[in-house]
Amino acid sequence: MRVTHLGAHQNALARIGSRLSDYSDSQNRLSTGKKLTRSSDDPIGMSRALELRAALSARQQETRNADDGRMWLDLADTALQDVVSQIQRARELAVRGATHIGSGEREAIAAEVANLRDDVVALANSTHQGRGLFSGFSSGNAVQKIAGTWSYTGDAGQINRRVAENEVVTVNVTGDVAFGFAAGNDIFTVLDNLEAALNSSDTAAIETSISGLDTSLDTVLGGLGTIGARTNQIEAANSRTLHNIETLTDQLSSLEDIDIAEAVLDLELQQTAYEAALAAFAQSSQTSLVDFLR
Amino acid sequence: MSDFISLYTAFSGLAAAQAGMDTSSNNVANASTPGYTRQQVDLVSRIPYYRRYGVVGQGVDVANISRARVVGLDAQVRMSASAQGRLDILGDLLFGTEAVMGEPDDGITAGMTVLWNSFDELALNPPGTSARQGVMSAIDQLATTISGVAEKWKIEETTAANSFSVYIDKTNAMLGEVAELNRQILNARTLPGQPNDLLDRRDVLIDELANIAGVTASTMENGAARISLNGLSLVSDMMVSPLSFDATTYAVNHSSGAAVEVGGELAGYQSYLSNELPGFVNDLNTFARELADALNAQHSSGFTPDGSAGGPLFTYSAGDEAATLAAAITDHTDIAAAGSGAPVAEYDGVNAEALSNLRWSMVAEGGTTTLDDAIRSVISFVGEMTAAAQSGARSQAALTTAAENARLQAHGVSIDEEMVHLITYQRAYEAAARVMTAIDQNLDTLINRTGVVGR
Repeated sequence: MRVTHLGAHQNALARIGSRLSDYSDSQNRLSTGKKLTRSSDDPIGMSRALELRAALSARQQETRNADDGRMWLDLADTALQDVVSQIQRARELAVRGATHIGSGEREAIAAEVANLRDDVVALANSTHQGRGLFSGFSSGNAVQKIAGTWSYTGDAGQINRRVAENEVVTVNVTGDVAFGFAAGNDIFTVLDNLEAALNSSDTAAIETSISGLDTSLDTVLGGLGTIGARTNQIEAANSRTLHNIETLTDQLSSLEDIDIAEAVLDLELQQTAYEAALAAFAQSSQTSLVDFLR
Repeated sequence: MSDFISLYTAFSGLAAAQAGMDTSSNNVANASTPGYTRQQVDLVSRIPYYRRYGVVGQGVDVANISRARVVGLDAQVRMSASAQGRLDILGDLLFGTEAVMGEPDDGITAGMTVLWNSFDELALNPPGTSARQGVMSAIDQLATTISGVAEKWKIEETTAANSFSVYIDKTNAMLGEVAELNRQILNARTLPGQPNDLLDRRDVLIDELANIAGVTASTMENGAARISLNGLSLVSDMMVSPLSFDATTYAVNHSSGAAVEVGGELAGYQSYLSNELPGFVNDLNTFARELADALNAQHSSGFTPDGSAGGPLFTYSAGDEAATLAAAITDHTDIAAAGSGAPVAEYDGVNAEALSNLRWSMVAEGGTTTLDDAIRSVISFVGEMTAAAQSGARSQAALTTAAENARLQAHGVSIDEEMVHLITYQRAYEAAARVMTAIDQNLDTLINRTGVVGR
């Protein structure tokens, strides 16, 4: 084959150019730490990476949602636990009041029962950041005495938190269920009745109140059970989500990030190749027949 | 005729060697001139002289100084250059188109995740001002990003359209130059020999035309080049038929009114302007419309804190959805987080949840996929087109280089070869001069030393 000098030079130049371009690509990859910077680098890979990014962001939001949900459930749990101990205390007092004791002592017990009732009302109306724990979506008090009757003044709003992909957990219990309004045996009226029975020393009414307290206790414990179950659900979902985040991060990294060791090796390889191309040209371009004619 | 004939024979050798050295020195001087074709002296022996005893040669003539041109190689180079031009331009244009999308960090997908999460945050605290501001800024950000991409694509389109028009003009100007060279070459035919340098210039011009417009060329019997595209003549002798184009469809027409299919860089611009970019714009418009419609519909089924139904979140004008997409909400109290009205419970975030859950709803591409998937497929589509053009350009570059090399190896100047030629001609010159000396001595003997017997 006939070889011309211009052709040989252009060939060498093209080869050096392509080596330099490979070398600079390796350098770029190593300095950015990314092998996937644009869709055209690998359209399928980038599409997958974007999907992973979206999923990752959704999962991260879900852990935030779960944390928020956990907080609601914990606060409601604490409040209801307190309500349980108040009911238990009220029951003890009622049992003592039902025995043959003096009416003065009954009145003292009645006063304590009134205090307990106020405590329970306060617990039922407890808020977090201005928002009622048991009042659903409503912003007002959950429980109020309206025209001498205890009423639930919240609404039936269910606060939902998405805690994992396709998993929504209701993180509130509304006061009408938790305090027995829905079952027609609300704890506040029971306590009111107990107070009145104690004041009037009506032992039969006290007995009725005791059985009312037992029903209320069951209701509140039922609410606590629901909260416990939902807490477990959130915990399980959240640990799944956290695990998911780990997997997604790994997958994203393996798609987008370079393997440092491999990249360093590649850079050295490209550098050697580039230098070899330069050296080869420097060697071969120096000689021609002209050097040997005299 | 007698002995003097040999003197002329020797002189013809001197002249031929001189012409050979002139040609070689011109070749060496042009060793790195682009488009230069190596020239060679074509020597023929002169018509012999018939004598009684036989035929005596009368020396050598320089018949021509010709270009070492292989026509088949030109056709290959030009075909490659045409494909290369198209893919290079398309690759460059698509590269820019892709870059303005800002994926994966600052693009539409990032804006989408921010928006979805802002709805989640709103659901966590429906009356919270910061959550509401978050939704507003996410909507604004997403609308700006989408319309920004569409606007930048419009700029890309304008730039490409301008270049297309400039390249059409350039093509026409170059066709004119070819016609002018045709004229000069035809004129030069009245002189002896070939107008090698004009031929070289014309070949360079035709190479460039092939790269720009994908023309093919053939040489007519009279030596003029005929330039044509899809069989329609663009230059014939000195006549030029210029190209024109339609500014809306980017279709190219021959001066006869017939449509021509251009190749080369023009085809790159044409394909980008009439095929790739409109496809992307159309996809982005569909996405913007479906995004706005789905979110607006969901938002309007919710209620703002004052109990009125939610208004639209996004506005757009039909037909140009992506570029005109804008946030429609200016006050955070216009965000409808609640799911039921009359009266609105302060902490009702049911509609915020529903808005967040839209991310999994099949509302895009006519209800067949999710919005996230839809925008991802737009991005993939742009990426695939770009990658295809770029890898096509890379593999075509190998073919182009190979074709150019093959031609350069055949047409180019080899210094070593010229040195060998130079030595050959130099020796031939010396030998011819020696022959002259010998004849001169013979004549000297004949003229000065004969007939002196008895002097």
